[in-house]
Amino acid sequence: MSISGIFPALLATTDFVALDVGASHWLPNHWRPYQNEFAYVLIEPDEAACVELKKQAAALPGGLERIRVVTAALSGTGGRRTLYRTNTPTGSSLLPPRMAEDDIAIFYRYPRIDNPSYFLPLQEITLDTVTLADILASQEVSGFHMIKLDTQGTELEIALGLGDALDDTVLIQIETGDHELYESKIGLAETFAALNGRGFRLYDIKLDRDEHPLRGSADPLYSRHLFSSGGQGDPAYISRLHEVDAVFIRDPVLAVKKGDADALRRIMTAMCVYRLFGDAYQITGLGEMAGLWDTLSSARYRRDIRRAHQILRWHLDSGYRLYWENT
Amino acid sequence: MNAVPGLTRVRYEDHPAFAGVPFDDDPETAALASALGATLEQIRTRAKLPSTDVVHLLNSRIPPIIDPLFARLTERNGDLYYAADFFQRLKAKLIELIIQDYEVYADRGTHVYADHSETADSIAESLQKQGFWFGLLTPEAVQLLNDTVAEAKKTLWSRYENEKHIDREALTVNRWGGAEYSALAAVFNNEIVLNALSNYMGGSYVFMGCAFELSVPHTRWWTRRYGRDDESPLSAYYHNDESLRHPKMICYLCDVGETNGPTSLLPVGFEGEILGWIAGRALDHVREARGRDDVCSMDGALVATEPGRRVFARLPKAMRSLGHFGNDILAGSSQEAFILANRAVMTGGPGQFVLFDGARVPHRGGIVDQGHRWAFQVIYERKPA
Repeated sequence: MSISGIFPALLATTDFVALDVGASHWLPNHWRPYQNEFAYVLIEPDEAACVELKKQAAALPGGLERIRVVTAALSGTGGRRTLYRTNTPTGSSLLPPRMAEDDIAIFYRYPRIDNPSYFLPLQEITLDTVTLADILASQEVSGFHMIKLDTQGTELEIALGLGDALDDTVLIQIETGDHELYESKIGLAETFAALNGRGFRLYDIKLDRDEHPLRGSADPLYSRHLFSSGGQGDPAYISRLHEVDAVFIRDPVLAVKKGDADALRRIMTAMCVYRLFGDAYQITGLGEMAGLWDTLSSARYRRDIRRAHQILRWHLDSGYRLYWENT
Repeated sequence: MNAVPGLTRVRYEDHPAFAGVPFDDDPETAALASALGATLEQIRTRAKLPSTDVVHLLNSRIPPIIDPLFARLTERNGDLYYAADFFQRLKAKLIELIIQDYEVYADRGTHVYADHSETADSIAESLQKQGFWFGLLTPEAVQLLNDTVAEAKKTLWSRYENEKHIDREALTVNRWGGAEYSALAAVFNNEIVLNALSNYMGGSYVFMGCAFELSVPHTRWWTRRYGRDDESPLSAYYHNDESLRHPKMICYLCDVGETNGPTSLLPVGFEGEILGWIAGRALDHVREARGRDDVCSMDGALVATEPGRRVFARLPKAMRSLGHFGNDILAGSSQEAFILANRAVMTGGPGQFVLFDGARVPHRGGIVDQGHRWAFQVIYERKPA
């Protein structure tokens, strides 16, 4: 049964488990208004980070039973893999950094070739990895319904490592891009195709641009030095897309055709987390049209959706910032 | 929603009162009626989507079907001198009810549930699933009602006892002074009831008005539609109300048992056959002759006269129905048996009430064998914007 105060109707009989892969600094900002609403599984390979995560989780209602922290390294297949630990921890990946000094690297990799402190020194560590399917089995939950992945290039293989249980997932926020920082990195097109093929549709993208610094250093930037521009604040000047956080949501129409009311309720809930309140509102009628619930249920779901929006507005008016905005 | 097995529509083709009346099953008319029903059903379904522009759908999809349907009916039935005028009035009434019904469906498609209490929730659930809910006013509310209608009771009783009136119009008060209206509104605008009704209807609903009625024995208004002896007295006057947008309450102001006119309801409806359901409610208010509309006794119905039956029989089969269908059920029939087996009869004392959706739920009341009944018939309406 639901413990949710924001979604008492949507989650009255439907469970909702959110999975954060790469949770080193607690939940992403846009999940935090809902930190008391769902069950969570947080996966982080760094043991010290996990200790801190557990402290935070234990202080919330439901504690570590509701918010589970798992120390693990994930891959798509499980087994022993090499972790390429970069000098800057956020660059560490199971994929090797692309270090070759060739035309591609010289053109795209700007400071990291001439000034490669982001990657170097680089440590290669062999470690045991598990798949999301393994984690799911160990946690004894019905599925990972909302997933955030940020693992420096292995996001898609990790997601697909959930196997058939990916069909129970209604939303995936996945970092992807075509920046070629890592060898064999899966790009945008492959990611879109793979997730479309699994019944997801692209609903939102957060763009992350990366501006070339002039002559190898972080400052001055091209924009400021050569174009007298304010950089990111200048609508007359943009830089090439570096990567994106893409938000894929299970196609509601497919869920309707399967007669899966639980999936639709989870989709509506996940849409609220991602500010897609109007889309969630529309699904109340879609499910009713399909006979998956009655008129009163639709009205109750709309109450939940409106309440979620009001609460988010209250957070924003109180100075809270979203993941999508610079903090 | 589908019609519940066991209470099928009356098949007038087989009704003894229609013996010798020719029914017209023109395929083209039937096809147009079928298309109209299907389109109405599509729009009703689409109205569940919050983004649907119901008014636009009605304006764009209904006229291209309903206009040729009624043109065809008029063209084919020139032999009945009154048919053209009848079909014109029926079409207008049908459109009026379609608009009213779909205003409610449109409301429901965007309504946001308003929380109040577990009781309000259970009332809304009951209205949704059964179409009605039984409740009981507090003794204080009953006292206020008694005080408010004290003069009206004297007047009505005098009309019955001294002037020997037994017709419903004479034994009803439905106009109130300001203080009386305020007192009645204070009772019937019960917060829990309003919240439940509003959630059920999909808008903000309030007390609109009420009639205070004295029901007495030896009346005929509810029976003898055809002047025949085969009408079921147990199902006579079961009917669906005209308007979907006015939910109702019947509230007793005396003890009511089995013999002094209890209100009874059927937890089933005909809204699954949408065209027949709307047409039936429209046909309750359109007679064959102009000026006879809105006669409220059963023997004043369209089908109570030979010309009325003839023009009724010219309608496509899907539209041959009446909101007041109970008088067309034959004594001893399976439909009568179904009603007896499934009806919910409200007996109780002062303050006992039923809140219900009269357009969905067939019901009857006020048919007294012995004694008399004092009751309010309360109407609710959507709060004006």
